[in-house]
Amino acid sequence: MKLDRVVLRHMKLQLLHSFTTSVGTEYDKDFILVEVRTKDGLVGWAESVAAGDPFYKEETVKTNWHMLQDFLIPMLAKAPIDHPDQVSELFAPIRGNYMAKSALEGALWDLYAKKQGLSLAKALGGSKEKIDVGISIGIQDHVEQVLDIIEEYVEKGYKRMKVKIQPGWDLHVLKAIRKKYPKIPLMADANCAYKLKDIETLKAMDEFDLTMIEQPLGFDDIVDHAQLQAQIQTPICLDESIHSAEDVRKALYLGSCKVINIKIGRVGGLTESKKIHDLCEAHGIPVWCGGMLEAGVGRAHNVAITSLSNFTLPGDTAASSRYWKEDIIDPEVTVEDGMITVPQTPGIGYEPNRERIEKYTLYSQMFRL
Amino acid sequence: MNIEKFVFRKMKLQLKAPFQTSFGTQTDREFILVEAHSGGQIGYGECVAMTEPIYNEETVKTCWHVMEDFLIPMLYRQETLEHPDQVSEVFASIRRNNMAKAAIEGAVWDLYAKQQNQPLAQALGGTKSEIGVGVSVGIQENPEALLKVVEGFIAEGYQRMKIKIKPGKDVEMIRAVRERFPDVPMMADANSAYKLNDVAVFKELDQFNLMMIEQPLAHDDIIDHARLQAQIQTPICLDESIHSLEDARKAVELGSCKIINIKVGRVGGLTESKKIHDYCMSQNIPLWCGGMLESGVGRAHNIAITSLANFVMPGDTSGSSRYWHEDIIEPEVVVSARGTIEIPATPGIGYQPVPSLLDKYTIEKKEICR
Repeated sequence: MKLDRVVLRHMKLQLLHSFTTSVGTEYDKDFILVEVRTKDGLVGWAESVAAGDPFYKEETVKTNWHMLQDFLIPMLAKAPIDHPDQVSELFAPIRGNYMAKSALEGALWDLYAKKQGLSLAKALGGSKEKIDVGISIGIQDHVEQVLDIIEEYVEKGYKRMKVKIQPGWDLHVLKAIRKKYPKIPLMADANCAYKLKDIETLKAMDEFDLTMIEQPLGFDDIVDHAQLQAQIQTPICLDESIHSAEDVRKALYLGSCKVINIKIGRVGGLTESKKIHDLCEAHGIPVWCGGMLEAGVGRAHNVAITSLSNFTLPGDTAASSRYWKEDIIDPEVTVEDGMITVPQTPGIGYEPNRERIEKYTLYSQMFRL
Repeated sequence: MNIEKFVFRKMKLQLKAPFQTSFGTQTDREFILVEAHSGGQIGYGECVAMTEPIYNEETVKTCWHVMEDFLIPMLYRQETLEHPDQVSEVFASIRRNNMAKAAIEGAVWDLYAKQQNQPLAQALGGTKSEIGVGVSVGIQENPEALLKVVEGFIAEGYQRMKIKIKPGKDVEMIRAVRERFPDVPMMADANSAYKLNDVAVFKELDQFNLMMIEQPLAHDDIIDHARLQAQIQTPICLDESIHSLEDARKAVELGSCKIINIKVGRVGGLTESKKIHDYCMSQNIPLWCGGMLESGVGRAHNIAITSLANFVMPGDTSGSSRYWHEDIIEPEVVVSARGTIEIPATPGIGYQPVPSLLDKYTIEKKEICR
C-alpha cells in the first residue's frame, strides 16, 4: 500500500443522553478520527476510542494524539506495509497505548479492504450477515427507570439487556428485573466496582440466571477473578484487564473468566482482536464486542469484527440514533429486529460524511508519509 | 499543608554515556521536575518517565498532560491536605499514569518532611544510616569485554554486579564472570527478553549462584513468571509488572517471584512503595530500589526510600557523577569506596537543588497557582 498521508481530527460530538457508570457521567464525546490516504486516492477511516479523561483506561485524546504524531505515524512513514497484520508488529516497541495503535491500524485495515474490493468484515474473515444487538443501561435514580428502559428495548427486539451495577445498586435492581422479565437474556456490568471481600453479594447474583457478570474486580486483575470464578456460578466476562491474546491465554489458564468482551481499541487493533477471537474459539470461550460510545466510524469497525463466527453473544454496538443527534456516516447504523445487517460494500461499508465531519472537527492536522 | 503553587519544569540534562533505544541514541535525558510551594518552602519531585514509551506506556508529554489537566486540579479541589498519604487516595480515580502521580506525590512528601523538619528518610520510617550500591552492566560484545568492565566496577567498590542479558548473550557471559569472580554478588537482568519456552536457559543459569534474575518474561506478566519460578532455583525478581501493593500481593501468592525491585515512579509514589515494602517484609520478600536515570532529585528520593529496613539488597542508585557532567543538586550524590551512600540528615530530601542550575537546564516552565 503506497501511503500518501494521514489526517488526524479532534472531534466533539454531543451525546443524545448523558451516560453514567460507576466512574462518572458523560455529556459529549471527544475523540480522534483518523483518515489514511494512498497515493492513488483510496481512503481508510478509523476512530480512537480514548475519551477525554483517563477514567476507563490510562489513555486520553491527548495521549493518543501525542503517540500518533510523535511515534506511530513516523514509524509508519518509515516502513512499507503490505498487509495490516504487519502494523501491530511495527508498533511492538511502543508499550501500552493500545487505543492509539488501534486507531491507526484500523484505518489501514479499512484501506486494505477497499483496495481488495472486500467488505472489512470479509477481509477479517467474518461470515455472519447479521449481528445481534444488546443494550447497555447506565445507573439510574430509580429501579422503575431501568424497568421502563428495558420495556422499550424488549419491544424493539434487542437481544440482551446489560445493566450497570455498583455496590448499593445491584441485587434489588436485578431482582426487580427478573421478577418482571423471568426469561430475558440479562447480564450485569460491574466496571471494577467490587472487591474479593464482596463475594457474598456476588454469590447472591447466582440466582438471577445472568448470562454473565462483566469485570466485577480490579481493572488490571486476572488473578482475583480466578478465585471469584471458582466460587460463583455466573460466568465472569473480562473487559478492562484483557489487552492481548497473551492476557486471554493466561486468564483461561487460571480460570479467571468464561467469556471475553473484545473492544478493538483496548486490545490494540483488529489483528489482535482476530487473534483473541481465534484463541477463544479454540477453547470454546464465547466472545462479544463491547462499546466505547463510538461514533459511526468506530461503530462500523465493531460491526465488521462482530461478523466473525465466535462472536456468539449479542454485543453493545447499537444504532447510531441511540447515542447521537447526528452521526458522521451515511447511512447511519440502524437496528432492525435487534440485529444490524453487516454491510457488503468495500471497506467499513458506511461512508463518512465530510460536511458533518468538518462541522464537528475542533482541530485537525495532516501528516505526509 | 496548604500548597499555594506547583511549578513544572521540563528539564534536559546531558548524559555522560549515551544509551541506545529502538528509536536511536539518546544523548540527553529529558524529564519533568515538580516543585510544590508552601509558605516559602519548596518540595521537589522528579517524574521518571522518558521521552519515549518504551519502558512503560508513559512519556514526558503524557505525564505533563495528566499532571496539569487532572492531578493538580484534583489536588486543588481537596479542602485540606494533612499528610502525603492522602495524595494517592485523591488520585485513585485516574487509571495508571503512575509516574505522573508519583512525581507530584514526591514533591508533596519532600515538602511535608521539610515542614516537619525531618529528613525524608525518617518521615518515611527509614532506619538505615547508609545504603548499599550496586552497578548495572550493559550488554557487551564478548565475555572478555564484559570481564574488563566488571573488574573495573569491583575495584570501585560496588557491592553487586547486575549483568544485562538477552537471548544469545546469556549463559556464556554469566559463566565467564562467575569463573573469574567466584564470590562476587551477581545477578542477571533480562528486561523481558525471554519467553516461557526458554526455560532451559534459566535452568542452566541455576549453576552460577545468581542472587536473582530480574524480569525474565513479559513486561506485564505475573502468571508465566510463576510457572517459571516453579522450575528454577534462582530467585526471580519482578520489576516492570509490579505497579501496586495489589500486584505484589498477587505475585507473592502465585509464587511469581522471591524478590521485588521497587521503582517509586512505576508504583505511583512513595506511599505505595511503603505499602509494598511493609507487605513484602511480612512475607520475607527482600527488596531493592531500581533506577530510571534520575537526576539528583529523583536519586535523593530513591535514597530516602531505600533507608527502610526491608531494602536489604544493594540498589541501582549510584553517584551523580556516574551519569551526569553536572547534577542539579548540592552536594552531589557520592558513593564511598565501600560502595555505600550516606543517608542525609537534613530536612526533606537532604540535597539542595541549585536555582541557577535548575534554570540553566529548564527548557519549559509552568506555574500552576491554587
